[in-house]
Amino acid sequence: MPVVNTGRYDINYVEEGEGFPVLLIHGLAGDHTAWLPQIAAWKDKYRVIAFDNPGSGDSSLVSDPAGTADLADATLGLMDKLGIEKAHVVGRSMGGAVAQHMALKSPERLQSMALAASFARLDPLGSQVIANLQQLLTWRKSWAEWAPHAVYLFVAPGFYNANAELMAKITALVSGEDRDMVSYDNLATACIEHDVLDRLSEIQTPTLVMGGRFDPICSMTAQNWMMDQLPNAELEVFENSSHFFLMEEAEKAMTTIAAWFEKNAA
Amino acid sequence: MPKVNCGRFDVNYIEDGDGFPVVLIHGLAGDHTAWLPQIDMFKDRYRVVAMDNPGSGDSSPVDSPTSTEELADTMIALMDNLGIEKAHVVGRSLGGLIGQHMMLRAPDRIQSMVLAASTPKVDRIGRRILENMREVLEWRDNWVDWARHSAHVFVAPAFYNDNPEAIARIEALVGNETRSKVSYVNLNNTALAHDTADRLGEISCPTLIMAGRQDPICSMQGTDELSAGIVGSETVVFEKSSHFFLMEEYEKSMSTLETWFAKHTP
Repeated sequence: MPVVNTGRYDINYVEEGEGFPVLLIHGLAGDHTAWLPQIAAWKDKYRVIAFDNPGSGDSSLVSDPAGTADLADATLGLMDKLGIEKAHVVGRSMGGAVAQHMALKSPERLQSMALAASFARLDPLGSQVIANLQQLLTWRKSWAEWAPHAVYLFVAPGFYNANAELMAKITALVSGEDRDMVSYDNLATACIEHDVLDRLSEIQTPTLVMGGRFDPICSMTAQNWMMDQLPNAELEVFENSSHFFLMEEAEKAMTTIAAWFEKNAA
Repeated sequence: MPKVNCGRFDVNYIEDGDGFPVVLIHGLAGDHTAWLPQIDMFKDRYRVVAMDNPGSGDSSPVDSPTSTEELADTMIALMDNLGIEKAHVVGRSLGGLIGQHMMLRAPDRIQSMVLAASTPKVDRIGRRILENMREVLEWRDNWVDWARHSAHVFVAPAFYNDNPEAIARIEALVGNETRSKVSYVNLNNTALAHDTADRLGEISCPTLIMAGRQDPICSMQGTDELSAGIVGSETVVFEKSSHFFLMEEYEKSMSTLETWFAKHTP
């Protein structure tokens, strides 16, 4: 995978396919592989770019405090390096927070924006849950001990119970992380401190807001807050899902976002 | 408050009101005060009894393993002591697990049974959450951390976000616990070991099953098993709630209980 310098951070990315660019920004505890199904699904029609956020995968560490605005600068820097003038930007969870700063800073670079399980300001529950996860890692300094306290939050009870092997696999994957704990801690703080709710009214970019009914991290409270502010947004609710509706209701999520790209084509 | 010997355990209880008996059994992390609103509501028409479970409040500690069968015998012994031949029994969470064994062991003592946020066998996600709660207590050895890392699963996201005072009250209540940690761990294991899945067909008492759609501890999986397994049972689902629907959807839960008692009182 190629690595490019974007100023403060070196960014590791993948790209596949040709066509109008689609830029995928993962969440707090992920890396670019979170997007493999989407890359596979969309590469025949789009130039799809996914990357490791700073602090994740093979990109630079986030050894010092950083904000979601810094991550937005890095992401815009990546677009510059790749010669991408404009893209459909899809951000999940923290990635959506990054996308909001991109839309505020450089609206001309976003053809459309899709926010999956994201937030403009964490609600009290989301804030508490992220702080709890941050605290657990500080206490235990072990991804293996952290994983079971995180993974059950990501999916709805019905999905967790019905997909024992998959949940065991996800828990094992997270348990085996070699992710830098300082980076995680700094990025968790960035999430807790992210707050552009009062500025969303400035965003004219067509925005798709997607939320999972069972999500305790980015709950419907946070989704509704965004919908109240964004002047040009649509809401799609995944009734049977939590934070990972891109996986829990994969088919619906894929077709919803594919239709969104079509509708907002250049 | 009076205390009576019920075999292995001394049980601390309160009673209020006259009329047909209603016996209220609280859950894993509660005590008799969990029922104060229900006592207040029903004491004008019923003789309402609420106790501290063994391991809770001022009843005996549970310093070595017990079982939901043994706790069911304890509750029957309490009824004996109070001269209660037959009662409406309401059990929430662990209290409902105990209630199931009361119906299996002494069906003639149960006028009707209400299983609130209950299950025949704790399912995968419920198991993980109970293990997480036990781990936090073992890692931290205090109830304040336990409360902050547990409160968010008891209520649905919207309730958590819309009722900061209620959440602060729950956390303060639980955080100030003087509860024996050994008792808690033993009772946590007791809940995990409970399994009446193969015996539900033996239950013939009129049974009301109440569940929160968003409850991850006693999820709809266990609810559906109870509904299918207990012949003639009725099920009421609280769509907007998690484990604490008696509080989250207070009015609906009260009127459901009121109607149920009225219908089944001789």
